[in-house]
Amino acid sequence: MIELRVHRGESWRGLFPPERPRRPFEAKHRRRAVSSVIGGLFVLAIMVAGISTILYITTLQTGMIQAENHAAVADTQKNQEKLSISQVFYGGTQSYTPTQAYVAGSTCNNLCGVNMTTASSGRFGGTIMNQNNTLYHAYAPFNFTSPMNNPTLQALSNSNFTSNTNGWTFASTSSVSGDFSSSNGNPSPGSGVGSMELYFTCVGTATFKGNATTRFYINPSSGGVGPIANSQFSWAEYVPVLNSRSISSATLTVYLVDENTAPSFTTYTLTQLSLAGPDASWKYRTAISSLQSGGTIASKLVHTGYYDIVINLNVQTTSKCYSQYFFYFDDIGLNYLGNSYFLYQTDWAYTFVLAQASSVVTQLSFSLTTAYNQTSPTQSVYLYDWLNKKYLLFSNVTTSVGADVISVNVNFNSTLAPQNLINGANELVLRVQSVAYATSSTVHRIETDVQSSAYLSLTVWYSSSNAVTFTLQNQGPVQMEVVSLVIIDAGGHHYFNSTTTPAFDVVLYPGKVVVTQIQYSWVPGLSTFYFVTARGNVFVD
Amino acid sequence: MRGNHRWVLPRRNGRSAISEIIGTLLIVLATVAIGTLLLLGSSSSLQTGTVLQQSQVSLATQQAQERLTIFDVWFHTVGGIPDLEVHALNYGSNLIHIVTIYTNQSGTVAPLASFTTAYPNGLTLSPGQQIEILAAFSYTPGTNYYVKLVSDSGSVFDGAWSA
Repeated sequence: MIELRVHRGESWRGLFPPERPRRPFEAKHRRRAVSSVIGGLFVLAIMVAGISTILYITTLQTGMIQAENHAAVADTQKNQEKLSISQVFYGGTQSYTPTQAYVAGSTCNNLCGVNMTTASSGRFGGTIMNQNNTLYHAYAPFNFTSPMNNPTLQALSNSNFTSNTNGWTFASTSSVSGDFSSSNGNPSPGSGVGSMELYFTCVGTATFKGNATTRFYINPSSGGVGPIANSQFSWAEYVPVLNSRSISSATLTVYLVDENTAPSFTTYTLTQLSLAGPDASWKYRTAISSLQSGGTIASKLVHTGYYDIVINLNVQTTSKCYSQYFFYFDDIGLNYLGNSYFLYQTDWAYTFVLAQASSVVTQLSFSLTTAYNQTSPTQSVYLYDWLNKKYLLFSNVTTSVGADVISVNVNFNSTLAPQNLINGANELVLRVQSVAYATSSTVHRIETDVQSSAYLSLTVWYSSSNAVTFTLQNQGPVQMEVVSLVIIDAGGHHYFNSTTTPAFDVVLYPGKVVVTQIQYSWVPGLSTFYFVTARGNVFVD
Repeated sequence: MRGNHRWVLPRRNGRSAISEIIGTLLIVLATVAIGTLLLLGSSSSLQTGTVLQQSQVSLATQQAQERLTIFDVWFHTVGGIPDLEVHALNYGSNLIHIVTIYTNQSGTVAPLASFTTAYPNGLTLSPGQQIEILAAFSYTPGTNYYVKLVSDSGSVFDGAWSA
């Protein structure tokens, strides 16, 4: 039993006194244990150091990979950049906007909005500004002073009947040597001097006869404009050269022809007068509502169909006549009052005074924003032709309620030069005429609401040896910044960036188009343009 | 009891106890010494490796992020001296330190001494910065020259330009 307990080693302390020496193998084990613990600690420390190093290196590698990924993303975006360079020319552009705009109800100064209402007097407002009166006499028939509650005055599409397919036609009815100019036929409203020109060459005692004719359609039925309540005729003539010694008589007769009575073609004399001349200025004859041959004009406009207005010139010359005689007519119009519709019309103009002379202007670009509170008004945009003294139509659109943006680009060619539109004082006139019809008279108005300068702008493209202009477009999917421009020409290399004078730095969102101009003295010869982006791409033109 | 006496170990004398202590101390000391040597050795090795790795990774990271474009080189005469005018843009996210320009001015690609003279400390470009490098350079009009910019991280930016 004892041996068993000893061998099992379970009761040493109980069997032997405390001073009993330990067995040799017990001390040896204790030394080994201490060494093992110490060695283990060292191994553990080495392992910790090693693992820490591995972790640290892994962190470094991760940082490097992240940097490479970041750089790869930047490189990808760089490869996605695409820049279009176009319309490079030596010159510049300059934008003009009115310094003052008018909103209905406030003071009109140059640029005006027109608020037209059905006032008790029946007088439609009009806006006359910044132009000679010839421009607006086409609308004299609107200036009724007598009360007109209903119906109100209604015009054909415009006072010169340009809506018909033929416009004015000209014909000679005599054998007198001469000619008729149709170059200015079919004129625009309010076209001023030269809108219609008849002339002949005198060969001695003879009779010269010429006709100018236009045709218009009218529907006075209930399905059209309704019965015609009133109609007025207006026109202007200008005969600069006339001498009683050379011309014994010059008679002008205006006829109204009803084509619906064919084959008889009932003809009424609207007016007839002798041209006294020479005229110092235009003579206006407006608001003619009664026929010279009796009755009213309105009473003859009863058929649905075509009518004609014929201007007949009959001149008797003498042997002392001059070589050529000119007769000018303008603003010939017939307005009428319908029972079913109301006409609302605005007419305003703005004169731009440019810094550039017509000799250097190469292109014009207008942007016009208007707003109307009438349904589907027809808006026409004109530019004044100073040489031919008439308005040229550049835009004719049916707009909608709310703001509409009209862009007009004027490219000059062999038939239209900058000198046509820009006079010696560098003036350019933009005119906007709007017409709307309504079927009731309650609270109708047509309003050209040009609320701020941003609503009207003109960009002038001009040639210059001190500037270069180009159009940049971002055709890629990422935003880009063009940070540097290098122009290489025979004179050397020219550098432009955000720190130079002039500065150059263009930010382009995807799809954005920017016209950029740099002041730079152009040197004749071949030039190369480098455009450098912030991502390091270089685009060459 | 006889059996118990057989089992009782003889009591050790003083020498025996001292030897045991010394032996234990020696073993412990040896263990500590060897362990210390191993720890120091491995630590030094790890540190060396870490520093080396750190340097390599830093260099590689720098190179990976360095972006520079030479967008124009103009060979022209300034004040009667033919010059090389290099225009470059740093479009990366890191500073770039240009330390050398190599050209084939002499027929073989070699460092351009006039650059070192003009810029003894090299040139540093911040991210987004454009720089103009002007150095004397004898050129023959119409000849194509190889221009290589080298950064202190070893990045190379080069191209061929006609004088």
